[in-house]
Amino acid sequence: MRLFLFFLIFLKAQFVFAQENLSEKNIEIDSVKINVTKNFNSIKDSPFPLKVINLKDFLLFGNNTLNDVLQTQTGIAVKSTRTNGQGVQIQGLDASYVNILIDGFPMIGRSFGALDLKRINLNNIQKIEILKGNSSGFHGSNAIGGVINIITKDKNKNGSFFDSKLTYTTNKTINPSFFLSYKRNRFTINNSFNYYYTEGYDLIDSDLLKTINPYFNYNFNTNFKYSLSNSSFLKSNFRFFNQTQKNTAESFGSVFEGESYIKERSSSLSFTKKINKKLIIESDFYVTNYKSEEFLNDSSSNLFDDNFFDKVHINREIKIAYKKSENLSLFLGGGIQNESLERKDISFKPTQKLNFFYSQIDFQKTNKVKLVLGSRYDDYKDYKYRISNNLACGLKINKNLKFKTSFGTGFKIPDFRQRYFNFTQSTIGYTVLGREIVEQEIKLLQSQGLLSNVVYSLSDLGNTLNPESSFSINSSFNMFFEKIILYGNFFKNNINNLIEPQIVAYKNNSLPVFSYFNVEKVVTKGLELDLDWGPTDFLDFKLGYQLLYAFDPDVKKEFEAGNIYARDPQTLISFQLQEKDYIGLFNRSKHTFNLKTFYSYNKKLDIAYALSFFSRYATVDSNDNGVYDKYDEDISSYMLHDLVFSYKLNKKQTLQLGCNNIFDFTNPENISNISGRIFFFNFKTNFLI
Amino acid sequence: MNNFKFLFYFFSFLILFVSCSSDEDEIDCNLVENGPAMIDDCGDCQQALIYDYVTHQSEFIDDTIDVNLGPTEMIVMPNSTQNPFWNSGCNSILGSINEFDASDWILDMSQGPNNPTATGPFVKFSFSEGGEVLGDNWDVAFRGPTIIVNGGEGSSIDQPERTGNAAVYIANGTMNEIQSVDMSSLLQDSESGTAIVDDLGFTGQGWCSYDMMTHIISPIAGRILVFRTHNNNYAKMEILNFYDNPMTSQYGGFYTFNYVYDTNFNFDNSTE
Repeated sequence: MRLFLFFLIFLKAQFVFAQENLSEKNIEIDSVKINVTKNFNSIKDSPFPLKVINLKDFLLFGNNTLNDVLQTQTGIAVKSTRTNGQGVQIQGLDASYVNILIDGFPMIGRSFGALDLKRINLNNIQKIEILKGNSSGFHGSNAIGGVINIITKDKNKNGSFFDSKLTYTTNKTINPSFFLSYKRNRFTINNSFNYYYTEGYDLIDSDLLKTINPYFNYNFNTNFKYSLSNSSFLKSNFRFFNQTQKNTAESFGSVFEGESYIKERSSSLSFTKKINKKLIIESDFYVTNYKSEEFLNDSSSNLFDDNFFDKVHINREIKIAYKKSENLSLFLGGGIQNESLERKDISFKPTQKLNFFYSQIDFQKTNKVKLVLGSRYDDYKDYKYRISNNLACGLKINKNLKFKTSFGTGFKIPDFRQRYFNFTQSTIGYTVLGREIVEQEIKLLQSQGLLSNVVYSLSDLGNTLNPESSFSINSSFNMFFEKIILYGNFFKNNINNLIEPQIVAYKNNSLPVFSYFNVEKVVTKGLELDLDWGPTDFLDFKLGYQLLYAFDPDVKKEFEAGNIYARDPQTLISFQLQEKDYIGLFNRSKHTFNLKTFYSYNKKLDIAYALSFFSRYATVDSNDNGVYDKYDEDISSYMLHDLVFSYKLNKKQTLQLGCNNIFDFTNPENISNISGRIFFFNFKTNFLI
Repeated sequence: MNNFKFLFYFFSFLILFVSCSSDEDEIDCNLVENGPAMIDDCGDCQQALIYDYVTHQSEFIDDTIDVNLGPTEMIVMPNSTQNPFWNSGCNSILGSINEFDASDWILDMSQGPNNPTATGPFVKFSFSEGGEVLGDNWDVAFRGPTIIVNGGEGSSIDQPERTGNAAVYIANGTMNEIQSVDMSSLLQDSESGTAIVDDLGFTGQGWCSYDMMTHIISPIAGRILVFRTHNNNYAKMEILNFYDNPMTSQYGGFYTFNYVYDTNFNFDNSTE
């Protein structure tokens, strides 16, 4: 007992000593890693609504791709899109408002606004940082809903390290992946390779198509690090992704077949220099290219349809971090970004140039109050400059209670399609013109005598589109009890100036010509709750809940004014709807709930169980008014259950057996990304060479 | 006990009386004993009907007794809110048209891929005739998703010549709710475009909406087309569907609609 007491005192002394040491050291910037809020300080103390998913949070579930991990995170929903893809929503905002970064560099190549999460395999990933709410103040355009930053593995010990995983699952999915790292003194290299093949699946037998066609992809990633001296580092990364998928379409009994390809290449080069204990400068160069091509042939092998998309994104950036004192840090950055696109239905190769500059003041007082103020200036060629601001405040009441509040403004610049599209639909015959070419094209059509009527005045059409703009608030609390951590966050996001097509003119024979205008609005608000409870060392529960209201305030006004009717699809009888009948945006559940349980037996066997609940939602309108009301046929609430056993054969080898979606839930008509029950088998090996 | 006896006799008497009174025949306005027909506010005798909610066919019935309903049929009582004829026909002709065929249209790509033009005949409809007409007595004509009226000017050469005084606007409501014509809203076709906005459903201003993913056109609920006919009568129309069933063409052009044609101008002359 005495010994124990002594030990305790010793420990405490150690701790105090360590803490003092730490605060001494704090004046020096000890990390050269920048986080998703463009800040070098610890992510744990950030007053922004930030969350980190660590390796161990998804390791025990045997997940292979990013969508599997994000699916069970509070406040995030991975929803199937109507083109059978899937996109990630944050706080009810669409995938087109979410940026995904790999080691701080943005991914490009969106399909209907959404980045395909299957492009990211987890085999070389260390952790995932998620920043919710407006993040334009850090990352500029698009980051209205939030940012997901994926941090790749980086081994710091000298020597060689090898890590492999072999997966086999239902639907004949095979996924071998390898990770190899080597470090010797100043030099480090991390390589990862990954191959993925799946046969896809078919949810509807009666039609001629598969829901998800077979595809295979491979992924190669390598990064080098070299310490030039104790204070300067060189880092480079190269990433490569290729995918081939069968492409099919059906029209009145005839099937069209073809293929679709995706090729993605990214590389980056960073140089970091510690000028002195207080000052770090980093400069980055990043280039990425996303290419997709697809075609469809008819039954006699004649080309029926094809499509291509080729986007290049180049970013040069300088970041400066200055730690003035223990309480005050300054972060500055700026750069130039170039983008260009070649695609079908844009006749030339549009380019876009951006100059940007940002700064951040990080102030803290006696570890109790933390204040971060950040601004970013984005100057797009052809647009008026934008300034996005972030303000966040953290308050530590005592060691059991913390409060955080943050505000942010953000924007999304019109994309190349909204600006330069020139497309005529072949079955119905309408034309869509990007806003920047609409004036000249209308004049051209007029001079050719092809227009019967122009609805907008040409001078109005000459004005450029405004960026979509947003404002968001997050206000959260953290409570720490002995074995429980409780987190709650109230959020609200307003987006204005949403860009939608409108008629600008009629061709002869009354076919319409469309262009893009700032018309719509969206509001999302709600509450996120997370509870982490570890009653014993070998048992852990994580609970999450989100309450979400997502709606269009203009539609709400139409309901209030009594202008919205519904037609019963069976009786075809129409009736007026009340204000209370409006539910909100499509494809969003009001209540989502997840529970994760981890049980560890004998340090050899781990059992992980996850439950996800989604309350009812609709993906499309079913009663002829274009909005989601309480009379629409919707998807009733459903639950998914996953159960995974991990068994450590020895120190180096782990076997995993699991079942996702145990009760085989599917909804063939409305949810294409839930395939039904999946059994899987993983074999993992890792060793030092 | 006495009380009980009294109650027993009282109820026995009551039962007798009631059964007697039900022996008295009541004849409905359709001259059927105990029939369900009723006179509506317009003074019209309205019958009950059997409605098939799959084929949208309705059949008037004299009595609801001994009716055998099919699996997709339902009985609609005359004064039910589901009966489109109740009160909507003050001196009017009521009608339901199933799959009026204006589907014979195609896009002509001969002038280049960026200049497709819709071609095909406009199919003319007359409210007074209750069907397709070939002469100048048409009120409204359809081609694919385009709707024109027999009044004003044509906006392209392949449209039929306007010889009448028809005009139209879109009102918000149900067929029963729209009981008046807002004269100031009536519009004729003109050289610059049709009175009913021909937007393929993109803007939500016209009669339909368009789904970018499925390319399906759906009539918007609560949009009533209010017409002045070619000869200055009035009519209202609710379009219910744009496709045939089962679907044979992805381009649609099969109009299923209900209408009320008013010969005596019984809509109010004033704005609602």
